[in-house]
This record gives sequence, C-alpha cells and structure tokens, in this order.
Amino acid sequence: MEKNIFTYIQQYYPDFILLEWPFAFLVFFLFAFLIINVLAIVAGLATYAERKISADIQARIGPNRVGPYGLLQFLADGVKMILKEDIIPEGVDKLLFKLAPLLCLIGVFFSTLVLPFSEFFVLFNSDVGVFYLLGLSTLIGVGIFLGGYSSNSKWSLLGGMRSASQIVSYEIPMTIVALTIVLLGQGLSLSHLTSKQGIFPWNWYLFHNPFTFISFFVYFVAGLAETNRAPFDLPEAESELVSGYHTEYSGMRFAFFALAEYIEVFVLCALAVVLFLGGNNAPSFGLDPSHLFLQFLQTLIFFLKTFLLYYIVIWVRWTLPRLRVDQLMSLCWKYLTPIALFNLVGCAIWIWIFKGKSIGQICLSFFGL
Amino acid sequence: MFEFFWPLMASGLVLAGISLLCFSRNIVHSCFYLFLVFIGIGLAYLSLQLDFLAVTQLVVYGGGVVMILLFAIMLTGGNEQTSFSKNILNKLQAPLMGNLKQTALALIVSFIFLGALVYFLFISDYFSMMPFSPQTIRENQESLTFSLGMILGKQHIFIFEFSSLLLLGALIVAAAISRPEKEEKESVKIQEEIL
Repeated sequence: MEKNIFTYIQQYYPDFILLEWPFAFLVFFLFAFLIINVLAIVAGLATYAERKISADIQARIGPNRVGPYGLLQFLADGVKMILKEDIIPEGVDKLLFKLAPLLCLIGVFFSTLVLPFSEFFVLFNSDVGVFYLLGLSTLIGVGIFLGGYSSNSKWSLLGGMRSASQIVSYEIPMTIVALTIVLLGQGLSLSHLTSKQGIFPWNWYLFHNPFTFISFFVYFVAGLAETNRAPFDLPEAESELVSGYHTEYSGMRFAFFALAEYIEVFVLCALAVVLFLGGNNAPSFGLDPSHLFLQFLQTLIFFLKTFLLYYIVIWVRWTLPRLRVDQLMSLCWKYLTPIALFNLVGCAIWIWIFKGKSIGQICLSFFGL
Repeated sequence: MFEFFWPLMASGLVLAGISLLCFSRNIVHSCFYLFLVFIGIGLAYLSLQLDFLAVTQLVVYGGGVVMILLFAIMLTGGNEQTSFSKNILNKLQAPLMGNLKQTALALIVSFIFLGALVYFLFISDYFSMMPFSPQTIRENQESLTFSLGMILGKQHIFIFEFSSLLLLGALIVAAAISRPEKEEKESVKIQEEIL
C-alpha cells in the first residue's frame, strides 16, 4: 500500500470509498494548503531568527518592539510589504518581470510535494524523490535569471547571471553526494531512505562510514551555494551589485523572492535531514506504526532536526565573509566535485568490502558482540 | 474524471505554450513559453505514472536547455536585430524566421515529424510490442523506476556506458575549446606589466 496522507485518512473513514475522487481532492487540497501556510510562517519566523541570531553574534539586541521579544516583527514586515507601492520601472519586460517572482515561489512550493514529514504525512510518496528535489532547484534558477534579465538594470542582470552559473555549477557536487547516499540506501524514494536509517545517531547515514561523513559537509557547502546564502551570496552582494537580481523589485514582488529563498533553505535542510540525519525516525513506544501520536512525534522530530540545521545556516551567514567569484568557481570545480567523486567511489568500495555494514556494526562484530 | 484531469491539463498547457511560442514577437517570451511546453510534457509523463521520465524532462529540458537558450539569446543580443515589416506575407511567416525559404524548410521538417508520429502511434504496432510498456509493468505491480534501473543496468549497460563516455568526451572538448589561448595570456601579462 502506498503511504501518503490520503491512504492514512482512508483507514479511518473507509465508508468514503464511494466518493473517492472528491474526497481525495479535498484531503490533498487541505494538506497542501496546510503545508504552504506552515512553511510561509516558518519562512517569516526565519527572517526573525536571522535578525535575532545576527544580533546575538554582533552583541546587539535585535528586534524587540513588536509583540513579546519582537516575535511579531515578521507580520509587521509582511503588512508593510503589502502596503508598499508596486513599482514597475520603465523599460522592463513587463510579462517576465511580473512572472519571475511567482516562478521562484511556485518552484519552491512544488518541492514540498515529496517531503516526508512523518511516515504518513506526505503528499506524494514518489519513487524519485531525491532526483525531483535536486531537479527543482534549477527551476528556481530560471526564475532568478529571468528576474534579473527582465529588470533592465545592469546590477540585476549581473546578479541573475551569477546566480544561474552558481546554481548550475553547484548542482554537480550536490547531485554526486546525494548519489552516494542513494547507492547506500538503494533507492531514490525519500521515505525508503528514511526507513533504512534508525532512531539513534549511530544508525544514521552520517555515521555510516567515513565517506558519508565527508559527504554531509560537501552537501551542506554545496547547498549553501545553491540557495545563494552567505558566504556564497554573490548574486545579491550588496557592496558590488546594489542588491543583485531583485534590485528593481519592490513591495510584495520582492517579498516573494525573499520568501522563496527562506523556504528553499528549509527544503534543503529537510533533504539533508532525510539523507544524512535519520529523517523522521522516532521511537514507537510499542504503539501501532500508524498511530496518530507517532505521526505527530515524527513530524516534531523532523522539524527539530531541520531547524537545528537552519540555525547553523544562519550562524554561518553571520560568521564568514563573502567569497570572490573566481574563488567560488574554484571551490566548486577544484575541491568539492573531486571530493564528491572520491566519496562516491570510496562508498562503493566500502559497500563491496564490508557488505554494506556501517562502521558501528563492524566495531560491534570486532568485539564479538 | 480524476484520471482525465491531468492529461487534459498537460495537453492544454502544451498546446497553449506552443501557440504562444509561435506567435510571440519577443524571443525571450518565446523561450519562457518553451519552458511552459516542457513542463506540460513533464506533466503528461506524470499522468502516465512515469515519474522518472517526468523529472528527467524537468531537469534536462526545463532546467538545462531553457537556461542554455536564455544565455544564448542574451549573448547574441536578443530581439534587437530582428525587425518585422508590416506586409501580410511576413505576418504569416513564423515571426522568428527570416525568409520564405526558411519557412518552407521548417514546414517540410515539421510535416516529416508529424508523419513519423502518426505512423508510429496509429499505423504501426510498435508500442504494443514493447516488452516494458507502462501497462505490462503496472500489471506486474512493480515500481517503474526500479524496472527501468534494472533494464539500464543489465540489458542496455553497453549503450548506457557508451552514452556517458560520449558526454565525457563532449565535456572535455568543451573545456579544451573554451580554454584561453597562450597568446591571450601573454597579452594579459603585458597589460599587467604596463599597469
């Protein structure tokens, strides 16, 4: 049986089998609506977290006026964005100028289609989940590039070009590193990869063997570059390009770009959690695997791990200075890609020699346990 | 009802994208409509439950080819060089085509493709004889991606490796062509010395 949100709810309401397709439509629609709203709030809180953490790192206080501890600052920002004037500069390509932010946002929301929040809380349990998620990031690249191209501004065009070349380049080490895990787990489905890992850290693919341990860091660095986060935020380098590909955007169109970027970071951290950090595995307490409590516990664990990685992403942003363009490209092609290829071959040899056992299992059998 | 929704939406997207592509006067807009067409084709694959093919379509064509076309348009100057006269014959031509000869050539090529498509879909029984058609795999209750991997890894391993070798060759040749030549390096050195 395919495990997704519809089959889960169908267990509890088997009588609705007569009205199958309107019921399925309703369930999927409501769940997708819920995911999009939750992720929009997550992105809003991420902007708050970004400002608060940066304030901590720079020994400032940060936003503290709107609501308790300034928690409602992102709502105030959102209202301000909506109320701002929607400026379309002269000489822009109007169709593409209006479509580019939407293309970015739609691309990011499409990537939440396969995220396994828990064993059953997933929209579409695809056979090719990892491939799908990695492929969608190029779609976002097209949106960013069109936004830069249509703006009729030198800074925007340069930012868009940088972003396109950066996304296309860093796709390569990221895909090869994901392939290492696919080789280990023998499947492209996210829930399959999750089920191959366990609850405890020594069951995770991160500590499976030395090659996957290195792979995680390669994935993380490539992911930072893929989402245009610092220290790889060259497409929006303030000191060189005013504000990069969204220089000419104002109001809600700018907010769409910002929202897309923050949700993309969340999706990237979620993929890292699934590939390396055990995904949504949770202790079952002897309950039935489809128990509602377990689903919520798994969702909680999934979100906690993702937010931990999200914190590290923000931490890195406010710690490291920005790279130069040539340094960025040499990091990708001269360091990350060879390391990723080495990891792929090394992991294949590890599987062949040790019959797919993890380093923990080998140690245990060495001591005769 | 539900199973007719996706194919209808996919074909609608493809047809709308193609007609907008042909009649658009702006080459960057045409490129964007081509992107819509590729996404529509991906949706069509998805409605046949061919996940892997759909995602490949999205990555290779939606991401790669459209990006290359956009860069090509940008580096060659976009639509500034093309100008359209107002006479009716030119309006009937595809907007991006130059003259009557090219239009005739395009028509012949497209009719050849249409003929091949009609032959394979309706006249010959090529697709019903295929051993791994979607229907047979769905009857066997196997994952399509799994069987595709088995076929690629076992039966067609030689073709698979050969095509990857071909791609590697193309990559190396591209790197060799785009490398700066020695003379340029020397001129850069001279410039640096002057500075």
